[in-house]
Amino acid sequence: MSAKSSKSKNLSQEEEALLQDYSRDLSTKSSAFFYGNAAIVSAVPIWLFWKIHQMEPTNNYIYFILGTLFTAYLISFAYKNVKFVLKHKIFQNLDNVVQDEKDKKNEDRSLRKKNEIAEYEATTYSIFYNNSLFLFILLVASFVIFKNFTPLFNYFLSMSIASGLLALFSTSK
Amino acid sequence: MKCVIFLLCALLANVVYSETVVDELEDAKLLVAKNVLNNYIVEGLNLTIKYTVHNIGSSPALNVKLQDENFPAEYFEYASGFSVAQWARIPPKSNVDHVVIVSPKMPGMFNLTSAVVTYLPSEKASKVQTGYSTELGEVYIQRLSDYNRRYASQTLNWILFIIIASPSILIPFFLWKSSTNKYQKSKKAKKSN
Repeated sequence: MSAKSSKSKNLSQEEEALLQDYSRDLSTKSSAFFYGNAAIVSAVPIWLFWKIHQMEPTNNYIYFILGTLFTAYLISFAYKNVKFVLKHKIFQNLDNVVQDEKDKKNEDRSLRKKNEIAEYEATTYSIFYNNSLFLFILLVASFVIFKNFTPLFNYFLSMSIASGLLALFSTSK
Repeated sequence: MKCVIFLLCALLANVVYSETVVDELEDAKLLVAKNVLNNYIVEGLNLTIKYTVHNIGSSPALNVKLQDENFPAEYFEYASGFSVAQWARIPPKSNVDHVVIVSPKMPGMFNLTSAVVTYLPSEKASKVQTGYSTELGEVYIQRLSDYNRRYASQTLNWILFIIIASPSILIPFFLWKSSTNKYQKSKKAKKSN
């Protein structure tokens, strides 16, 4: 009975690992990493609106905080989606690379290593891609489309559109 | 006969006209132009007002006093010059200038009215003559933030923005690139073997 229960326990652990790999859900560490990066890139436009659009932080700090939190949420959503799609593509490309470096007898270790590399590359590329796209859309929206709006409306509309489009594009495969 | 009458009438009209013109220009007559030298009127920035006093008369204007109460202390601050300017004597057929620099304290619509000039039109005159300058009407004093947003140079701010934003793009890119390059090299090494 005990052998059977340990075997089933092992299987369920493997299944859990597989489910984790193929799931969109992030570990706590990854979530914190994504939210941190999203908060930083969401806070960068505050400088732009303070110095160039002349929105004083002392008068507008509430709007800046709300805008940053809302945008950070959408950007982290985009990070997660893009990373998920990229990870599987990168994993497939790593097929022939890692096998030579690792002990072929221990396929589990090899797969885990591949998974780590794919995770790392997908995470960094997702952050790079989403940050670049967010800042580009924000600059176009703020200085071309909403150029003649009042600074407050310009801030909310530019940030919403940039982060909204980012979240939208990230849902495509 | 008709020609003689016509000539007499022409001569009389000429004399009357000449005497009239001489009477008009005998005393001093001052005309004052009030001009704003700025392209934009902005809260907190200097606004330059120039008063030009022309004496179009034949006599010198005496005890000339130019006074402009258009810039009260609650709305404007005098950066240079005074609201009152005085000249003992302005010669005939000449002009003098007076320049004042003020700084508006608050934005909004403002009415630029006339300055007042008082003078004695001749040495014998006892009654003071009063004149008014040109007026500019209502002007809009822009907010400093609106002016800076439209016209101020933002080069330094853009450079600082690029410095602030670049780590969030460059750091992930280089991390991804270094990882990709590492496993690209391994792949190439495997192919060559």
